[in-house]
Amino acid sequence: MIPSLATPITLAISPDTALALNILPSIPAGGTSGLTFSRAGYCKMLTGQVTDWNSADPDFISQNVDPVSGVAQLFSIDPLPLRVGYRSDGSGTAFLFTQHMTAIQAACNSTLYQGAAETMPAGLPANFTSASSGRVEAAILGPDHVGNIGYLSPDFTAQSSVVPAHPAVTANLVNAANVVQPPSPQATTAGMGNVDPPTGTDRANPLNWVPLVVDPVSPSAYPMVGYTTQEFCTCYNVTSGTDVKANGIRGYLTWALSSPDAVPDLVLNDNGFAPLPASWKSAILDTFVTGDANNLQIRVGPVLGVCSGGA
Amino acid sequence: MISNRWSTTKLLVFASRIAFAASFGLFGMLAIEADAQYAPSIQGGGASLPAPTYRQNFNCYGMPLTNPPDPAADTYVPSQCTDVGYPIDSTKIFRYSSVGSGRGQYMYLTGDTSYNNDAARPLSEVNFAGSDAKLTQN
Repeated sequence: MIPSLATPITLAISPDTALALNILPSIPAGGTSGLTFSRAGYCKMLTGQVTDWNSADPDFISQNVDPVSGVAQLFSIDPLPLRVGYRSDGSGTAFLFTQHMTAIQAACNSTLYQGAAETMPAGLPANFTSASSGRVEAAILGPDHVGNIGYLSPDFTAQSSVVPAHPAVTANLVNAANVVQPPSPQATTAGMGNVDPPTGTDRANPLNWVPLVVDPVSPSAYPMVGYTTQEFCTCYNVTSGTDVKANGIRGYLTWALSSPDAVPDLVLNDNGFAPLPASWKSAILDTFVTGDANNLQIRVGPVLGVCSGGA
Repeated sequence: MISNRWSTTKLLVFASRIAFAASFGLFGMLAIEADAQYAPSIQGGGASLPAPTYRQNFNCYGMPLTNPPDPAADTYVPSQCTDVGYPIDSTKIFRYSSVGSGRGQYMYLTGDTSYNNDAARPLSEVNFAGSDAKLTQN
């Protein structure tokens, strides 16, 4: 279980929804919709306490401020149902989303979320609408979508600059330090903070390779972040007598984590993600490619005392 | 977008196929060779969150997937990876199916490819998984 990149979990709407809303300029600017929520605001929205964009709930609209009058404005003058799209299958995106919501739901006196989980909790509000694997984007952009909002990784939003284009636009969120931050790669890096990779024998425990940051404290941090991981085997079988898989995976990791042209990191940034810190890259290469005293380097099996075969 | 290096490779492959087929008069071999060309050498699946990005990096490191059988979007090669020196290893082809972290973890632990519900990206084995959630004993 090796972290591969850091990601924000964005709150995204369609361009049509953005046009339908009264979104006032956010300060600082950021995200791709301009929509900005306070912590209590997005907490209420994502626990079913706010179900219409014309809600006058002061927490919900507190960041939608008229720059001239200084007065918070409604997102919609007319009723516009607010529906929350979520994944119905086992989803790591849902895992990162639910771990954060569990951590901050006291901000709106809710107990809906029951900890980090790959599926959403039971008893969801009636305005939550399920979507299967990869379909939250469709829930946001599909038929009758105006008013829908959902959680998405940045590569499925307009923050990605690669093709095919993804039109969903993202919101800014107020973090634990009461600072507005967009779901940018920089704010994601800040969100994962200064957590060091495991050292020594701690590297032998896979769980130590996945730090969880439920609610970053840095003023520079986007509040909903996490590492996504790749799981590899220590030992692989040969393919037609040739070391294809272990060789290919070691080679891929070496390129992805230490390419001198920095292309792998540029690709991540183009998709809206943040690369791993240098200390994590080195630790992964030392442990799983070069090999250290933990004897966990990826190779062809079987290896006496390590594995009886290969994947 | 298809990279220049891929276009060159395709031309060479096509020329060799024409020569081979002309020599033996076995045009059916074209299809057989095409299937072999598309066979991924390293396969995995799981989290949909990083799936497009993983595929782009796999297409930089190894030979890019082609279409068909993979979806057209999977053939994308980032512009940074069209220069001299890419792909890093032209003998490797990766395929990654988007099935969600939960199914990806299950496939990885059991090797059961029947849990791959990404019909556009069939897997014959599972060599790795992608997940945004911790993989625990539960």
